[in-house]
Amino acid sequence: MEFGPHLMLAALEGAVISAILVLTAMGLSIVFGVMRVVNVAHGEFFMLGAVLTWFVATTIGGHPALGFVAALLIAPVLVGCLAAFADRLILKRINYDPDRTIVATIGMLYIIQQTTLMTFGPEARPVPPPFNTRLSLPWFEWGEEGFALFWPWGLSITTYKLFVIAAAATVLVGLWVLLTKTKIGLIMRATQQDSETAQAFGVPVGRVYSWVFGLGAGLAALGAVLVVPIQQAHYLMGGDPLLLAFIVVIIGGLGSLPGTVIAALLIGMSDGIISVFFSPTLAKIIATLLVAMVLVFRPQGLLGKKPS
Amino acid sequence: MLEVTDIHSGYGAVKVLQGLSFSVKASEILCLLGRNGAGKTTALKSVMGQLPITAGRVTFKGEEITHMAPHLIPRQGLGYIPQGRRLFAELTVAENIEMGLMTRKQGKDTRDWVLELFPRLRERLTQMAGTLSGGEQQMLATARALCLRPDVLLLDEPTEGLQPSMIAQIRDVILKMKAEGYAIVLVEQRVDAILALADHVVFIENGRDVEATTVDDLKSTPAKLTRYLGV
Repeated sequence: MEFGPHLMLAALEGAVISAILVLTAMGLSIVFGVMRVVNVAHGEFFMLGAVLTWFVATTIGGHPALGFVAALLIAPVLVGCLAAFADRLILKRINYDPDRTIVATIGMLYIIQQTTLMTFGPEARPVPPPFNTRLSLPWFEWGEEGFALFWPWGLSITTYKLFVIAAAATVLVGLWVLLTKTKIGLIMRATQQDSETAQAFGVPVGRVYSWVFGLGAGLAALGAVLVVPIQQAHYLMGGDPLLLAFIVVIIGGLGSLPGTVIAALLIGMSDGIISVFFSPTLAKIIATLLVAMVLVFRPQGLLGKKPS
Repeated sequence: MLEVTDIHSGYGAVKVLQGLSFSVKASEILCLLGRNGAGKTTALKSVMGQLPITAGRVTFKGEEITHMAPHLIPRQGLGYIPQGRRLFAELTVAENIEMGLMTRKQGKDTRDWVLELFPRLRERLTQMAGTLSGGEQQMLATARALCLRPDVLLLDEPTEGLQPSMIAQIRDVILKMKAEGYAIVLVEQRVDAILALADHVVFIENGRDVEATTVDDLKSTPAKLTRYLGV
């Protein structure tokens, strides 16, 4: 395949990675932004979403679309409720102290991971995509006879991957509407800025924190539901998304949602393109190097604010 | 309307209030006076539930609110303008006002009422609160608290850092609130403001109320100001 079509193929793969990454990182960023909690267990909520998708899909059976739609509705809500419960049970009791929440979420990571291993087993489990038609994509060329379209062999994408990109974009728009146009979003933003003053205006800060922690975990689980038909559900699958989400959130600026979107696109696209042309390991090395450079030259991230 | 009886409170192991009492009725302005560190701000924060009260009691409209959850206290009708205004700087003026309106589910008529009180805010509705001038920020902080339609308003140094014209405007609003039947607890350093606004004063030393008197008495015996405030 020529370079142009090859690059387009790599960019489409990158767009799929970005789509999953933006949902996962957005969850991490919202939790940090509002609660100032670094949630080390975030990747395990992603993994739980994937495992629940497999469980729901196999339990329901029938056409793959049935199980997938059910998982899309059930898994993020269940994971969100579990996270909100964990917030009440653990994080609230340690008063959201930044140091202790890191240790507590590390504990949550191992509890979720090992409980999943004991119940779900060590095997990787596939979930069939609800639809998976392969679409050939055109390429263009300027030849002696002017502009011409042709269909290079191998330049294609599945309808499911296009759905993943569209679904992530839709969720992002929904999230933006929630945060900027609704009362719930206003309460979340006010709590993020000054929780004590928010309380003086009737905001039940503890309950807002539980909802936000649940929302963050639910977004990670939603990303996992979308990715499982492409990858497989496995009890150790939370590590990579956690690392990439941290990379994205640090590059974008801790707590900055626009920064998170930009960084997710940057990291996802570079991961896709470098993985296709070189190797996935090199893609991770470059992403980590980028984080190091951001921490040295712009510690607040691309769109983060300098601490006053 | 608001009665604070022998409360003890502080920041963790640091005990600031060690037996403070005061009360305020409708259409009355009570001023808490004392040197820096006496416990004036701590008193307001404790009433609002932002600091734990370890002894004593706070009653509001006859109901005890001493250990009520902090987010429920403003819903009872206690408005609070903290020191330094504490606006939501990255929310717009309209969103800050909306936060006030949501507290006790007030509607458009309350919004129109506060914007009539502070017409300049109407011109700044889409502006971020953090970009307002100091005076406009104080107007917004006052407007936001008034959006609760509170029965009692707690104001912590509302004229701090303001230019004289703005101070006069804030004073007018406070007097208007008093005339409309609000009970006001004021923490203020400016003696001229205290003498112009307050009906009663309570002097605080080391977290205790040491003397309660009227402003008329204070005007006739200014030595008290020297004794308790060093002015």
